[in-house]
Amino acid sequence: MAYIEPIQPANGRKESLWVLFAVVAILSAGTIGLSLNKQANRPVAKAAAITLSIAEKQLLMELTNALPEISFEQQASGQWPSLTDLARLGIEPFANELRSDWRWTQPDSHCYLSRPQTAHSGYFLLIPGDNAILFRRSEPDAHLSCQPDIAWVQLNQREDSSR
Amino acid sequence: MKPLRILLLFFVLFSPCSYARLTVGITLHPYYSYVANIVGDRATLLPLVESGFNPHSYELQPADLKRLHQLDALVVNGIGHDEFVMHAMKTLSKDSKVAIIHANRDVPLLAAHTATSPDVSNSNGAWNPHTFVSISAAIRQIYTIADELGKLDPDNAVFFKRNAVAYARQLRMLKNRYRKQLIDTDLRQIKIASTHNAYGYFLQEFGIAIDTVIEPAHGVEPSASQLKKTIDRIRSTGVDLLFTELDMANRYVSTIEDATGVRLYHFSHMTFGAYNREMVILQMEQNLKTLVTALKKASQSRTTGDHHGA
Repeated sequence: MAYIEPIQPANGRKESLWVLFAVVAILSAGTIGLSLNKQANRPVAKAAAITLSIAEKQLLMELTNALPEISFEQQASGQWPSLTDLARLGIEPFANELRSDWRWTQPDSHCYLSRPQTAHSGYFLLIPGDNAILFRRSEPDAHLSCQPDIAWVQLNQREDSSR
Repeated sequence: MKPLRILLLFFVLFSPCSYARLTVGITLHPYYSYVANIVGDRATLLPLVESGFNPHSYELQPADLKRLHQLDALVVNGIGHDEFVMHAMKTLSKDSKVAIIHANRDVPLLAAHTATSPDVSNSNGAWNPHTFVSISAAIRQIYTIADELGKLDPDNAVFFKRNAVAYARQLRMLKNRYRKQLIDTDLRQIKIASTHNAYGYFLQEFGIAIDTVIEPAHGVEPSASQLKKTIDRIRSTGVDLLFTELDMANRYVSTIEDATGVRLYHFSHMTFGAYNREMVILQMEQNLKTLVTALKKASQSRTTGDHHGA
């Protein structure tokens, strides 16, 4: 009985398939690795803060420093400092006489509200007791009593707890 | 009296405070200054890497790992400028008892901004790690470090916090001294290019954004075609100033300067030289002086019509 042995043509087709498969596998692994690496490098995802203008970002940076400074003063004296106190203590942005683009008010003893003096800028609300910096584009209620509604976005909220 | 003195000395030497003294590590030069000013003489400061290394391309050595095991806490940038230690910590994290202090935890970060990724909305999820080339971002980091060290050493928490506030005040006064020199300078029209995005936080403090970043990635020189595009962009947008780094040879910078006539100034990147408690104050002052000089000249040129792009 004759035995027929199938022999693959020596045209390199199979090798090409293996090479193609290896290339796809390497590219897939690279893509997955890159995306995972980017995820790992996201310690703080402050998406809301990123869309602010340069002047708003500058103010936000100053307010993140003001939060612990105000709390420190409150712990020392037992009461929340007034706007005059903050200016006297040199706490930015309240003490920055060069900044005229926001005007500050103190609707209640424990919160501070900024009103923009230029178009296209937003409102900031600082509540040191809650460690909160809030922001909104539209004008808030004139009778704001430091109870922020849902229109306020918290800028210093930590979205990623993996740090 | 003598036995009383000996008893007193015994208490001073062997009190719980002497045993609780923290050993705090740092990865980059500015963090040495921050921690040294916060802890004073109440903790031991041990840089993880010996001075003289280039943080852009460093790999941890066995001697560094030995130091790592001596630490109670390690202060890190943690968002891209000390990846050499972040990678090591990932593999060591199971066995390591070192408390990692993420100095940038509460800093409002800027998106990474390079020539190939000018997207400020940060769709690629990478952050600008140069928060230490700034005064306001430095202050936020100083407070975070002081808080975290205070949790590890509660007996000294108030001392650390007081030192942090005093140091922050010193830095802020320095900034305000130079900011006052710009009261009459119109900064609105001034456009800035930078070799790499190390100065975003620093310029933000003066309300200035960077128009053009030249390097396609951190520490990577642009190709010939990228360089040509940059030169065309600097000409078309009328960039006034180009900021580059001290201590780093960027060969392509003089080509840009010759081709466009843009004014070139050097800032300290603050990650070179010996570790020094006063380094941040000294080098930030140098950067502030450079910035004020550059902005005044650019504003003057705009006013007189002597701007190179005009």
